[in-house]
Amino acid sequence: MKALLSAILRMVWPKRKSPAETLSEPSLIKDVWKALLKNKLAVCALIFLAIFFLIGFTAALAGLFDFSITPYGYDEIDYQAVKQGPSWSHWLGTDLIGRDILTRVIFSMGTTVELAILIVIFGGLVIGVALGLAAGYFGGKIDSIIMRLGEVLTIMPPFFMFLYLTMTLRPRYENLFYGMGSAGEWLIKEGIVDFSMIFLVFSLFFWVGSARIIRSETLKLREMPYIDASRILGASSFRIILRHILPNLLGIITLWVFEALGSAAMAEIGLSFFGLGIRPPHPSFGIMFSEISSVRLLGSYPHLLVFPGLIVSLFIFSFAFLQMKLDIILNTLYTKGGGKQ
Amino acid sequence: MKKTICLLAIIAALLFSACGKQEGAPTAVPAASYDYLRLAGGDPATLDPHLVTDVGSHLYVGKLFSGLLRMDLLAVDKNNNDDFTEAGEIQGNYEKNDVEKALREALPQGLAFFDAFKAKGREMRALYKLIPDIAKEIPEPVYNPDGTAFYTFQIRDEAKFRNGRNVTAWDFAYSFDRAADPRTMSSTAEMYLGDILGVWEMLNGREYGGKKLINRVYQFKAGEAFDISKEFVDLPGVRVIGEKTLEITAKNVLPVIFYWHMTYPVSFVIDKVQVDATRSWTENPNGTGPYWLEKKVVGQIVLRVNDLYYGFKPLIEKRIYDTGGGSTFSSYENNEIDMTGVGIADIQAVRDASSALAKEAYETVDMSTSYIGFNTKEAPFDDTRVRQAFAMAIDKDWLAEKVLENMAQVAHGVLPPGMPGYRPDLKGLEFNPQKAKELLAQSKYGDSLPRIKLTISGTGSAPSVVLQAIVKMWEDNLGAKVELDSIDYVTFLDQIKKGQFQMFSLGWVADYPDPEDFIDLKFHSKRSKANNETGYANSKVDELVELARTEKDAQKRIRLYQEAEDIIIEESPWLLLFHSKEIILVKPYIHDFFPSPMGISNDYMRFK
Repeated sequence: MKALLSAILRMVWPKRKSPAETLSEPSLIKDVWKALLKNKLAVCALIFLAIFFLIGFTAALAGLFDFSITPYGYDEIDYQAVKQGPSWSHWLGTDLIGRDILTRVIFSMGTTVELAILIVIFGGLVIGVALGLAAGYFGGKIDSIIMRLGEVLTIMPPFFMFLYLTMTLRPRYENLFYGMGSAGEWLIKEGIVDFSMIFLVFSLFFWVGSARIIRSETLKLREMPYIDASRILGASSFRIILRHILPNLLGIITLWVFEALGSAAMAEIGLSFFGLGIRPPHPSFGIMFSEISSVRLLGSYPHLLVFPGLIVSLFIFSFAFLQMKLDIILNTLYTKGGGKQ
Repeated sequence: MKKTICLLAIIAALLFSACGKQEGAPTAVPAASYDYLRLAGGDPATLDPHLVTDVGSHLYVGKLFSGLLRMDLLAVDKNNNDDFTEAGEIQGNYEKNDVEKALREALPQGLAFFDAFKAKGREMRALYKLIPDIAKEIPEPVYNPDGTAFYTFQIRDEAKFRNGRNVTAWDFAYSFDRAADPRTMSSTAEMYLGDILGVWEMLNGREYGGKKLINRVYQFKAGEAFDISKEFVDLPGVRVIGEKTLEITAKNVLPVIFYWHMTYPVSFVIDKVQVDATRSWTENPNGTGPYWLEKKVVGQIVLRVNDLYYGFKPLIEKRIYDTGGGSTFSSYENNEIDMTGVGIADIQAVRDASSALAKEAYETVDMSTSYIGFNTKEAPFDDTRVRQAFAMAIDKDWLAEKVLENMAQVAHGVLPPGMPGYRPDLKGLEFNPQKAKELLAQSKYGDSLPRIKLTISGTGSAPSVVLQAIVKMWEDNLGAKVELDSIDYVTFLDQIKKGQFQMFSLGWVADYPDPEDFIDLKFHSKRSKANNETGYANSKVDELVELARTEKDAQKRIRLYQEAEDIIIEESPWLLLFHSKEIILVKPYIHDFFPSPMGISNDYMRFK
């Protein structure tokens, strides 16, 4: 048991190594990680995000597999207690129609986490990496097509595109599922269809960022002598990409994933605020903010905003701060030579 | 060093941009004075009386323009003792005789009505009446053999446009023609001018009397002296008898309905010279109303009393509207404006009887009804029992009290308070989840409800919490999962006319104080989907409504509408929700303010 725990701990918090050890195993991730851990604020941010994702993940699973983690449902109305401040029965109080705020916050975290992960995995990783690799490795026409496509998507103002796409596609998309009979209806009622539509639309724009990064790294790696060697030995392109290039990209992919999770989560919150993202009754921070968006309301019922606002602010701050730190660390690591913190 | 320079540069840039003066910027908010009234207002969608549909624009248009007839405040029963003998109760230039005559004659005829409100905690009633505006008198109809009637209006001698030009019958003919011209694209002309012969045909490009009706506009050649009598009169129902005499022929409608229709902005008179000259004439309207537009810039609108006004000159010389948005309540508390509406957030502060604000509060129930409409032609709402089940499954009292903090009154009937025929003791379909479940089980869809969508208009925010609560109550009490669907306003209006929604959230505000505006317009089976959105068809209701259209006895008419209302409540094509309340705060140095319904101007308001 102890061995297992220490193994896990070692994975996330490696002990100091002697300079010799460090030089002998160049790993971008490990270097960055160690540098990050030196900063106390960064550690706090990481812990907060870890807790956020843990709670969110649990909430998402709870929603999917129908087990309860809170005494109240997220849209359960307490008819006696409307707009109440924090109390023993409702730790964070109740909202405008008597729903428990703590429960809604937890499930909103679930929504955020669920969507952020789905968007990043599907849009960023699956599509983005695939296209980025293709563009970088094969170059030429394929490269042009993919990159030009990416540019076109970047030029379009994302908000209006979301507006347009969700408004025109949503009804048709839903009808598609309804046509599939009772399985489809269940999917819709669980909100999965809603979710999937959001992350499909997001993914449409998200892949560009990761594809670009992957592509530029691939271009560099492509020139490496061992790639030529593999090719001479007769390895297929597919094998080269998979066995030789991709593993070297893991570091950069991981960093990108980190940044993308943050922006995907924020995008979802923003869109739900405007009624374009997740729709009620499924909870989302955006919806919560939208409901209380009247400034005057907050003078009388501050508890409606304080806790959800605090959590989202910390979330945004953590990501922003970590990104800033990562930027600094990456620069110092590369300009001052490997291994130097 | 570099960083500091950049920072300084940025700060300098910001400061300079803030210093720049714009052309026509709003003047700073003046301090309280007895010379002008400071209010918060919205930016009007339009100042063209023929295009006004929303309350926000009506606010200004009603003051800048006028027409043949209008509604006016006669007196206020301040002591709630049913007589108008106290000082200050009778308004303006009216006298006790006028009030008594109104109570004796106009009220039973349906030409006058009472509107109740609370002023500083005291219950009061205001008496409103239909009065001639630019017309000298309200003309009696003269009937033709074919059932149509003509009304001869005499125009006041002293009626002038703001630039001094006399108002003539030709000006009205021009205005009616223009409103009915399909190129004007007025969405209110059909309903309010549709009584006049030929209006419907001109709007829809049809023939009248074998000839296609087109609005011809006389164009003056260069150097030609302006002579309004050269204007073409194209509507067959409008005839110019003399310079100040206008004859309007209307289809067979009750005179009282015709009169009310003539009070709506689409019947106002506009200046041909202006309107023909430029599209942007509304920037500087040459109107006939009690005020003129002194200034209109981003963030501010200033209205000034029109010295040429033929009627009762408002006692407040100047009105400054702050259209900048933001919290009007805090502006009021900071003495930046003299009047404000109050929303849910601040209502506690106002309701606290000991606070200063409570002494400045006026509360009234709007003449409006909000509802959820069922498409009676589409499953599952083609079955009455399903509609009743949904209606009885929600606790409206809880919503009004706890969620809306009594900012709305539960609607048990179709007609709102203040409307003649309104019955305060109606029970309607009461909250009864048990009965609701039974009704649903008994219906055609008892075993399995099809997919149900509730469509709301307006994107840009999440659906209102009231609707979310209602959806949850349906789920808890009926086991029905309803999806909320938001659509933008324009598409919403468009699709509602085509009957494409199953269930939708809407409201209807009274345009004039006659139950016909609700019961006939929204529930007669022959009405188009633009008005009868639910597609409701009940032969008994049709019969009652058609009888009411020609019933001359006002009391009998009201009873016919009430009978129809009972059926409508029972069959529930509308899931009746609320009549919203309006709470207004007014500074104590303003006197004789009375919250008025339907955008009626209160010109008797004054400072000390």
